Amino acid sequence: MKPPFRTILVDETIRHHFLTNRLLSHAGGVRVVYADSECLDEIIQEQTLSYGKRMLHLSSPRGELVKPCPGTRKPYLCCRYTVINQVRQCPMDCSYCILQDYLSSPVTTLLIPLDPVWEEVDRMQKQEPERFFRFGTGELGDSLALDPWTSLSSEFMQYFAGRRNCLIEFKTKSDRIENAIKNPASNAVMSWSLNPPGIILDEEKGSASLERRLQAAKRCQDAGLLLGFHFDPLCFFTGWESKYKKLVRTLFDYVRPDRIAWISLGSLRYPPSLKNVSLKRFPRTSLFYHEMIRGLDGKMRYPRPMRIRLYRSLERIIRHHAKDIFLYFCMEPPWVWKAVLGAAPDGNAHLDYLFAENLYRRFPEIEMDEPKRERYG
Amino acid sequence: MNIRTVRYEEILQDFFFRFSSPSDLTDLKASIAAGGFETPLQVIASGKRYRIIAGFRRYEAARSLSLSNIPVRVWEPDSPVELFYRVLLAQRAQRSFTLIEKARVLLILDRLGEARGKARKRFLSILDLPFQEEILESIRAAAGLEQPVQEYIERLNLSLKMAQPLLGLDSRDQITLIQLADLLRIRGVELAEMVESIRDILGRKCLSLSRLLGTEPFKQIIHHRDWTPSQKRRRIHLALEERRNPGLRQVNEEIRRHCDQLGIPLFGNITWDQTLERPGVELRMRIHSSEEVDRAAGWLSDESLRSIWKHLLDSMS
Repeated sequence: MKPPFRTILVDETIRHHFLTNRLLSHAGGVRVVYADSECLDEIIQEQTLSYGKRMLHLSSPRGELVKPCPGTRKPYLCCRYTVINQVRQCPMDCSYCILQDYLSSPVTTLLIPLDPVWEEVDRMQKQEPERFFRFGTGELGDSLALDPWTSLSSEFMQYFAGRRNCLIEFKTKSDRIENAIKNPASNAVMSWSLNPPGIILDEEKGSASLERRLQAAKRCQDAGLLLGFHFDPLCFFTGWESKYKKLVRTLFDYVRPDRIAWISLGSLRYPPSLKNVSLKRFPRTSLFYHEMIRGLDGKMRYPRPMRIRLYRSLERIIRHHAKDIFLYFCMEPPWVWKAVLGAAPDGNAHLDYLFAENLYRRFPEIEMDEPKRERYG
Repeated sequence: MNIRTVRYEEILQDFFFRFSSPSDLTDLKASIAAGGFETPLQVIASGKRYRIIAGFRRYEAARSLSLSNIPVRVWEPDSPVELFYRVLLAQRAQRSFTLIEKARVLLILDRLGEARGKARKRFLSILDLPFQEEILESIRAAAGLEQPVQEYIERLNLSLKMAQPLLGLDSRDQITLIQLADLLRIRGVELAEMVESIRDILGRKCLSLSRLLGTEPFKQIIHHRDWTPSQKRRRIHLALEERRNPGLRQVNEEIRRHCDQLGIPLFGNITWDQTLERPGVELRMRIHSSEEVDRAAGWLSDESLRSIWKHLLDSMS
């Protein structure tokens, strides 16, 4: 498969690392530039986002690699996810993507080696031995977009396989699962962000079609991997209700509810500064023109009654297909939880506990201790 | 480098290095008329003529005074970038640059072939700009705005953040908006917010700004004879909000209607978060006596009002 890059920038210090060699051995025809980090930074700063997306930067580690998901401020609830930021930026180009505004570098960056990640995961687990950790690589980039060239999923699977009280989630909009299904770990969750085909076509440039995502999900399920689905961002558009209904029906045509670890719901939200950045790059998008309010965390979002309408509609159809599925909201206040689900977690720690409890009860193949409520805050 | 006097016609009229906007020349003209040029223009030779690097205002003053000769300091033509850098440094020592000036400097650098690498970095530090191509592109675009808009940005010294919404408008809409801003004395942040609202409405309705402002109630507000600019601004703001968030407005009106039906006693009032992000309402009453406590308690426990309370709270979710 041809890599989605025109140029690969390689930091001299990791020139001979096995991950660099592996990636470059699959990158025939791509221009490779070796230089020191200062020189590469200058090249990177000169790129626009659209051009930067066609570059890959192999860099030595910088910044925090493993950290709690920044989530958002109270009163919105967040799930205490832990993010692994090994890849930053994404070769896909979604009009609503926060990374356009959030990251200063326009170039997709892969940080090599992985040892600092393993050390940090170890340290975190030792610090809280009785907590179940959910780690994920899909916060600052797509977990599998580069996988055919990096095989990072295999490295992560290998590291996490058999590791107690934790799991690793690969969040993607691609269908690049070949490496992941070779040696599936019982505590790995392959998850997809889903939207109706029209939104995928118009707003998620460079991502896999819905059909390809769901075919990939089915193959992961058949390989014994757990699945996750994120209906995020949910958007309002003409005919949204019937199109989301059809989307959920299609999802359950491909996968079995009992292999789904969780489903999340989250509506379109973004910092106000994203709008101009996105409209400049995607002048034809209409996502930002809907009724929006500035939320209590400063992010723009649909007014609460509209979000509740959106969630209720999705919840009803999901429950129709999967009655006992673990459903959660991303960045919603307790009163939205209550309005849609009839109950809300007491706080972020409680939500974290509910995840652990759900996994312990439904998936005995995950090696984990029985979670105790009192040990989650 | 040497200093000499050249004829007015020997100066090239392309003003390649000009980045500042024309300004009032009265004092400068008076000074030149009284004592001649204190400082010569800085130029480089270009063929048999000269190109100004610094001294555009002095040149204009000389022209309007009909002077035939102008003193110039002639620099070697092989390092215009270096000269331009020094001119900017000297100017920066005296004042900070406006957004429009920064945009023009970036375009000059592009034309000089200084668009890349370390050489540009030092220019950016004089201009207080980050080395980020996305931001630089937006700043460059400001130089393409219509002249009255550029003047408005300079007059109010708008930042990129405040001017950004203007960058997405076509020429006609830019002019319409600036005319309105001048008429109603709309300033910086307020204008940016207004443009944001307008863009949301236009994006949804596929209208042009000029057409939107030509419809009611905007037309009536703008041309109303008795209202002050501040009253007009407030009314336009409200009208824009109503158009921008019709669903929210409808819910808020419904809540207001329910509140009216409750007939709150004791000059009490009900407030709520009009974005509806926070649920519930806040009830305030000022109670001075035990009779008023009884009255408040009676009102709160009035069974006949219970369904109104229920509708009020239901309408919020």
